[in-house]
Amino acid sequence: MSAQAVTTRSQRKLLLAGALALLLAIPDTANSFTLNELLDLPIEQLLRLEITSRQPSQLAVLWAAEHRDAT
Amino acid sequence: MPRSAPITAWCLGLALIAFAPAALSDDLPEYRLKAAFLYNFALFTEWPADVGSTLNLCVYGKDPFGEELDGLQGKAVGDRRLAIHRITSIEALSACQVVFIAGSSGDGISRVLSSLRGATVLIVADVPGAAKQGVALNMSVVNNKITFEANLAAARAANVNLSSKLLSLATEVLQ
Repeated sequence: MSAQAVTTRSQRKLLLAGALALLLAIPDTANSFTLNELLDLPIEQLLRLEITSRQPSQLAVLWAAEHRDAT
Repeated sequence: MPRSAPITAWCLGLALIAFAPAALSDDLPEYRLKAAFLYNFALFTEWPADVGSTLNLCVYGKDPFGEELDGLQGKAVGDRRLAIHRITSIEALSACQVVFIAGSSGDGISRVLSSLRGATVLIVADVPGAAKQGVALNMSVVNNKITFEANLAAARAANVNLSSKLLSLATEVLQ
């Protein structure tokens, strides 16, 4: 296998990786909204959006426990 | 090797350009989206004429929204404006037109419902089973998307009308 062939193959791999990175990035950027942007969207569209991070439900559990203890 | 260096640099640059904005901007926290739903719930609710020009939106309990909720301060809902309040005392809820019950157990919900019986108020929660307990609108996360169920009877008992559009988008409408 010649040095030229190796270079061509690695170039192809790199090009493929770059193109793949670009394709993967497109849906991610589309899922980012500020609150003001969200308020401008119709509710039907809000229903289609996916959240990227969830609030730990532990907070709810802790608050409920504290509140019960206080009463 | 020298011939492949420009291609390598080009590909790395492309990957950086492609991923960097995504890493910076791929951010839709649960409670930012839920704050937007809260706003829409107020928007698609018909309020009696005797409700003044301010809609007091109150979060009862430990606030899960953080600063996202402050973004709703002063927003127009028809002819009215939203005013945001964090409430820790059940007695103070009587001044609210929208109440979000945050982080509460079923026990907390029943106490809030009991204290607001007969009041003109839209009660919202995100606790499993809350609609069946009498909360008018209850949000859930299903497959990373927000859904909500409606309790029409509870809304009517609280002197508010949920729009037909809102009801058509609910996963379940309890009569």
